[in-house]
Amino acid sequence: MGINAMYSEEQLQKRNWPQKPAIPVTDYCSYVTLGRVFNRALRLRQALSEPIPPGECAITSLCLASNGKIYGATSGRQSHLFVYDPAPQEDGVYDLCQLESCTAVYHSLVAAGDYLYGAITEGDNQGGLFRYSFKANSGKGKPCVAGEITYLPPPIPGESITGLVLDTRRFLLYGIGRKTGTLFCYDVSGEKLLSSVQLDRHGFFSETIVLDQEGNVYGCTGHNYFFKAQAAYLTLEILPFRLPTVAGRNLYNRLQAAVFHEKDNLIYGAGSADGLLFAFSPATGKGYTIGKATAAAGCPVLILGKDDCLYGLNGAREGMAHLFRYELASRCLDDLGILYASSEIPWHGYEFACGCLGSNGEIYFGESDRISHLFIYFPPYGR
Amino acid sequence: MEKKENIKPALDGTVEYLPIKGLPQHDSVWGLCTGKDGNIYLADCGELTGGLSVFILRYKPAEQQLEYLVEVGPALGEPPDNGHATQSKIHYCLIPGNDGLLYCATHASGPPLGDPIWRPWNCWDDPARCFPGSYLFTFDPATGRIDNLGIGPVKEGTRAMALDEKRRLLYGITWPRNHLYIYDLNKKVYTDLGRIGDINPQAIFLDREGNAWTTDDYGFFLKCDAKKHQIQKLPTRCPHQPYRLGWHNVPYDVVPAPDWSCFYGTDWGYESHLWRFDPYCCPEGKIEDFGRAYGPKDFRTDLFLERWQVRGLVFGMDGHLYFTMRLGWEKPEETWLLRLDVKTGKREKVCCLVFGEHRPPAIASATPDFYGNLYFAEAGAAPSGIYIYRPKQASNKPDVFSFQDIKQWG
Repeated sequence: MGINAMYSEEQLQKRNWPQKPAIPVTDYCSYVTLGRVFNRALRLRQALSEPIPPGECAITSLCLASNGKIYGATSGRQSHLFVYDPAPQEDGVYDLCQLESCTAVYHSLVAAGDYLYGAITEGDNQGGLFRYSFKANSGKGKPCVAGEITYLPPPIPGESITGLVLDTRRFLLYGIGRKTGTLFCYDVSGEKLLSSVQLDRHGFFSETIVLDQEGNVYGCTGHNYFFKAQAAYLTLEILPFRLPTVAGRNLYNRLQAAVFHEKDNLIYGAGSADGLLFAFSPATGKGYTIGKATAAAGCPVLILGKDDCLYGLNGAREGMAHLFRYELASRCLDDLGILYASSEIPWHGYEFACGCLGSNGEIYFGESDRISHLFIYFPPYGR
Repeated sequence: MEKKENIKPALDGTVEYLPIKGLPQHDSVWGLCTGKDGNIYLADCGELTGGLSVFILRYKPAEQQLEYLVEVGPALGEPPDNGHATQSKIHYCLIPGNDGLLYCATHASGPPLGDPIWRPWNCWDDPARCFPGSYLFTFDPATGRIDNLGIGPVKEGTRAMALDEKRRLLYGITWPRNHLYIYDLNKKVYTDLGRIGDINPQAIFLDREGNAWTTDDYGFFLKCDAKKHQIQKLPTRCPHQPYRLGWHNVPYDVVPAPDWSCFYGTDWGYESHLWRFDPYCCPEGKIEDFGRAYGPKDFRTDLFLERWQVRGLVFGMDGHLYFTMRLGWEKPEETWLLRLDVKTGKREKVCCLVFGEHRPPAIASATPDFYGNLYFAEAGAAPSGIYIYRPKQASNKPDVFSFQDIKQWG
C-alpha cells in the first residue's frame, strides 16, 4: 500500500509557478578568451606513451631550464620528474624518472646551468635534495632521454622542504623547512648548507620566499610581517609591511605566491586566505594592496610575463581556479576566466599548484588534480 | 490534446503519451525507475525556469494513474525560492531498493528564482547563487518519509548513481567536476575518489560482484573495485567511428541483459552505437559492437552533441532491446521508438513518437513495469511527460517482470 498522493493535479495547476524571465542572456562565457589556452597530457607526443598515472600526476613544481625546456615534478602516490619540450618536433612530455621514496615535491624545483635541483617535500626521503643533470638532452631538437639523478643528503635532517628558490648569480639555493619554519641557504657549487635560521618559534610562517636582485630573501613570518634575510648569511630583519588580507583573516593568511620585478624594484604577491594582490617595495619597506579580480580565495601561482603583466591564478583546492592579469603600466586588474583547453585534451582546469614562464613568453600552469595536465597559456599580443 | 490523440498504434502494441499536466513549468523527467512495489517512479525536473524544485511522482500501472508525491527541495530544507541554484533535478539518481525505498541524489542546473540561466562555472564562488550541493536521501513511497542523509558533493550535483544494496554503498558521479564518490549508507561516510575525466558519464553500473563500472572521456572502462575502492582503467573501450578519436564516448545508458550475464549500452551523443559489455569473461572485460544503433552505418556524426542521441534502453518481454533515437537521415527528422534483436542484430521501427504537434525534444531514460509495458521519460519540454509502450502480449497480471529484473542504477 502506498501513501495517498500529496498533491492533486488540480492543486498544482493552480499554483502560481515561476516564469522564465525575458532577460537576454549574453556574455555568459566563463572561460579564458583573451589569449589562447592549450594543454598537454603528461605523455609523449601523439600518445606514444601512457600518461603519468592518475593519483601520481599532480604537478606541484615547474621551472624553465637553460635548454628552453620545462621541467616539472609531480606529487601523489609517487613523484615523477618530467620534461616538456616545446620544440615543434617534440611538443610532448617525457617522464624522466620516479623520484625515489618521494611522494611530493612542492614548489621545489629550480634550474641552474645544466642541472636541476629539487627538494623532496614528502615521502621516506623527505627533506632530501636531488640534482638532475640534463646535459645529455640539453640541445634543442635533441630527443629527450633520461639524464642522471643524484640524491643529496638533506640540508636539515628530519625536515620537509618546500619553497625552493635559486640565486642564479651566486648559485645559492634557499628553501623552507616546513616542520620548524627554518629558512636555509645551500651552496650549490659546494653542495653544502651555508646557513639557516628559524623564522618563527610559534610556527607562524609562510612557505613562499622571493629574492631581490641583490640576492636577499623575502618572506613572511610572525604575524605576517615581511622579513628580509641577508643573502647567504640569512641575518633577519623584520620589515614594517604586513601581508594584506581581509580584516580579521590574518590568522589564516600566508604568503602564497610572490615575484620580484627588477625594473620597478617591487615584490608582487598574494596571500592564501583571500588572494589579495599587493605590491611591496623592499627598498622603502612600504607596500600597497592592489586588490583581487575574482571572488575565489587563494593565489597558488603568480608569474611575471614578458609583456610586463602579472598573470596569476585565484582558486583554492576543491575550487575552480580563475586566471587573472594585472597590467603593471595601466594598473588594470582583470579576471580572464577559467582555463579550458580543447587541445590536446578537452579539459577544464580547476585546481593548480604551480607555474612558470616559458622562453617565448608563454606561461605554464601545473594542474594538481587526480588527473592532471600541463596547461600552456599564450597571452594576447598587445593589449 | 484529447485522450484518444494520446494513444497511437505501434508495432505489436500501442504507445501512449502522458503529459504531466500538474507541473506545467517542469521540463524534464530524468530519473525514472520501477519500484519494489511494481509502480513506476519518476523525477520531474525544472531546469529551464528558475525557482523550481524537482518533484517525485508515481505512476500506478494497475490503475493507470499518475500521482504527485513530494516536492523534494522544501522537503530537504532547500525551498526553491531561497536564492540558490535550485534542487531542481534528480538525474540518473532515482534508484529503487529491495527494501522498498528510493535512493536518491539531487542534481543541479536549475537557476535561482528570477534568473534566466545558471551554470556552475559562473556561480562557483557566489555564496548566494551557488548550488549548495547534492543531497543524498531516501524516500519511502509507502509512507512518504524522507530520510535526509545530507549533502554529499558540496556545490556539485550528482549526474549518475548506482546502489550496491548488499554492501550498502552508493556510487555517484559529480557534475561539473566529474568526481567519483562512494557514500557508505551504514557509516554515513562520504568518500571522494577524485576526478575521473572532463566529460560526465551518464551511467555508472554494477556487476554481480559489486564492482562499479563507467568510462573515461575516451570510452575506456573504469572499474571501481568493490572491496578496495580503487579506480582501475582498463584497455577495453566503447566502440567509436573509425574517423573519431573516441572523445566524449562516455556511457549514456546501460542496462543488464535479461539473464544478467552482460550489459548493453550506448554512448553520449556522437557515436550512436549500441554495444554489449561482458565484465566476467576476462579481467579486461570484452566489448562487442552492434554498430550504429539504427539506420545507415555511416550517417554523419552531427556537430550538435545530442542530435541523433540514442537513449532509453530497456529490454522488453520479447527479449528485444528497445531504445529511442532521432532518425537524422529521414525527412522529417523524428524521434522513434526502435528495437533490436540482440541475437540476430535485426532492427525494427516500433513507433514514431509524434503525438499531434507534440514531439519529444529528447528521451531521457526507460524502465519496464511488471506487466511487460515499457516507460520512456521525456526531457526538454514543458510540461514534460512519459511515453508508455504497451505490447499486445503484455500480461494482465504483474507476472512478466519482477524486481529481480530491475537495475539499481540510473
